Amino acid sequence: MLASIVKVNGYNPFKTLMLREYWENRRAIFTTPLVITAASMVLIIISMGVLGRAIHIDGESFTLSEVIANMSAHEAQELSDHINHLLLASVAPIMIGVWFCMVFTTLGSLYDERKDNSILFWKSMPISDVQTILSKILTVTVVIPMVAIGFSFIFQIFLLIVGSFHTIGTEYSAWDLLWSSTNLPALVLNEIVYMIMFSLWALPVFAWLMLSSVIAKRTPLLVATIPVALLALFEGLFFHSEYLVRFVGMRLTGAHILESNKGFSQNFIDFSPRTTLDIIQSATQPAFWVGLGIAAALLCVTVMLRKRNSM
Amino acid sequence: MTNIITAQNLSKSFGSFQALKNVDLTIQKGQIVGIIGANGAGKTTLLNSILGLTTYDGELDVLGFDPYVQRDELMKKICFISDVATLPKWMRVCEALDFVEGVHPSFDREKALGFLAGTSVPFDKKIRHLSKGMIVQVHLALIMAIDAKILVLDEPTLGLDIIYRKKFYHQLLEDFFDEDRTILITTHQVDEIENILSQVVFIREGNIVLTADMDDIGEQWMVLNPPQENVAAARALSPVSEQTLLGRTSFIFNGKARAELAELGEVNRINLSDLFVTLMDGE
Repeated sequence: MLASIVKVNGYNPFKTLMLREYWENRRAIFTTPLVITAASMVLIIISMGVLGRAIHIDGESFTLSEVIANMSAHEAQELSDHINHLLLASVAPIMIGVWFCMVFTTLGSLYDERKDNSILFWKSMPISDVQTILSKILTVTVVIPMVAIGFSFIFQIFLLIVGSFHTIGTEYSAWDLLWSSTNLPALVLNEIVYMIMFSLWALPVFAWLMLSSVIAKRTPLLVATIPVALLALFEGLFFHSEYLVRFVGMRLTGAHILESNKGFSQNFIDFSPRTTLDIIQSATQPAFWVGLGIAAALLCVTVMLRKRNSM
Repeated sequence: MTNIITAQNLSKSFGSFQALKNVDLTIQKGQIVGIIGANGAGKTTLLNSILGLTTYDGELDVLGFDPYVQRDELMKKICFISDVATLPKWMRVCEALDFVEGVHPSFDREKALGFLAGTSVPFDKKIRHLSKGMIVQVHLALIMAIDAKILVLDEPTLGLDIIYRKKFYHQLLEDFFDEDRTILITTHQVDEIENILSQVVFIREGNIVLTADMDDIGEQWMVLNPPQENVAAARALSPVSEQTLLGRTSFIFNGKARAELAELGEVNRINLSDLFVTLMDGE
C-alpha cells in the first residue's frame, strides 16, 4: 500500500508535487531523523551495554539494572507516573535536528531552483505557482515533522524495550513499571497535535523564510535574518521594547504552546509537558490567528514574486 | 490557416532598456519558425512573453490564452526547452519521467521510453551525472512525448557537438513535427536549421525587421556572383549589399527579377546567415 502511495500513478499533479519535494529533500525528510535516531540508539546501547556502569548518582556508578533493583516502591511509582515525560524528553535530539531541517529546507525551497535554472523546467509544466508553493510549505511544516514523529515513536519503543531488559532480575515487572503506565497512543497523539500546533504557530516565520528564499539573489539566510535583526535593533534603541524578537523567538520555539500564559523568558525554566487539550487550547489566543493572517499575506507575496521572477 | 500566436504592440522594458518595441507578430499553425537575431536583440524576451514567463505591455494571445495570467493552463498545450540546461541536477532520470507523467495530462510515458530506448541514458542515474548530450536527449524525450500544439526551443543545442545537433533536429522532424503543430526555434547556428524552417522572423534591437516565408525569401532575395567584367553593371542595379572575398565580388539583391540578374552572372539562393548579416548591417 505504501508503495502505491509514494509512487506516481498517472496524472495527479498535487500528489506528484509532494513526491517531487520528497525526492529533492530526502535528506531533510528522511535521512536526518534516521541518522539521529540510529545514533541515539547506538549511544544508548554503548553506554548501557559496553560501559556498564553509566549512571552516576552521588559519585557512585550503577548499571540501569542496579538502579531499578534498588528503587523504593515510591520511586518506582514516580518513574511510572513520569515515564511519558521521560519519553517525550528523550526525542529532543530528533526534534532539534528536524527543526534545523525545516528552517534550511524552507530557505532553499525557492532559491535553489533559480540558482540551478530548474525553475524554467518547473515552469514549462502545467502547474500553477500557488500549487507549487503550497506543496513546498506543506512539505516543510507537515511532512518533515510527521516523519520525525514516526522516528521518535520508534526510538521511544526502543527505549521501553531497553528498559524492560533491565527489569529482568529485579522485583519490578517491565509491564507494570514501564509499558502499562505508558499510554503509547496518547503519547503519539500528543506529539502529533503538538507538531501541528507548532507548525501553525510558526507558520508566519516559515512564510517569511520562504519569501526570503524567493527574493534572495544569494544567501537566503542573510536575506531572512539581517532585516529582522536590524528592525529588532531599531525597535530596541528607539522604543525600548522587544516585540519582534519575542515574536520570532516564541513562534520558532513553540513557546506559546508550552506555556500559554507566561512570558517568553520563563519558558525554558518552566518547561512542563502539556496535555493534548492544553496544546489545542493555545489556538484560542488571538496571536495565533494574527500569525496565520500574516503567514497568508506573506505567502501571497511569495506566489506573486515567483510568478514574476523566472530567472 | 489559423493564427496560434498573435502579438500586437508587444513591448517589454527592463528599467530604461527596451527589449521589445511595439512588436506585431502573427504565427500560424503548422509552421517551423526561426527567430533570428543577435545577442540581446530581444529573442529570448519575445519567447519568454509567449511562454508566460514574464510580464509585458500590449496584446498577446497564444492559443487563446493570456500567457502571463494563464501560464499553467497554457503549458498543457505548449512546451519549451530553454537556452540553459534546466533539468534539475538532483533528479534521477526515472523520477523526471514520473514527474512529467504526474503533472502533465497529455504526456505519453511509453513514447518517452521509446525515445530513450535507442540511447544509452541510464534511468537510475541523477541528471548531474549525465553528459551534456544525454541531458538534452532526456529533456527532448520528455518534451516530445507531450502532445503539445506549440514547441518552443531557445538555443536548444547550445554546447552540444555536431553529431548531437544533427540528431536533435532529425528527431524533431521525424518524431514530433506534423501539420497540427508549430515549432519556434532560436539559434545562432542558423545554417543548421535553415533547411527545416518554413518561416523566419528577424529581430533587431527589439524590432521585427522581417517576417517572411522561406519560399518568399528564395524569390525575393538573391545573390549574384558576376564575373569581373559585369561588376560595375551589377552595382548599377542598386544591390542591398556587396561583398568581396578572394577577389570575387558578390551582390545581394532584394526584389529583383531573376532573369534580369541572370544576364550578369550566376544567381544563387541567399542563405540565412548572409541574409541575417545583411539585415543587421543595413538600414
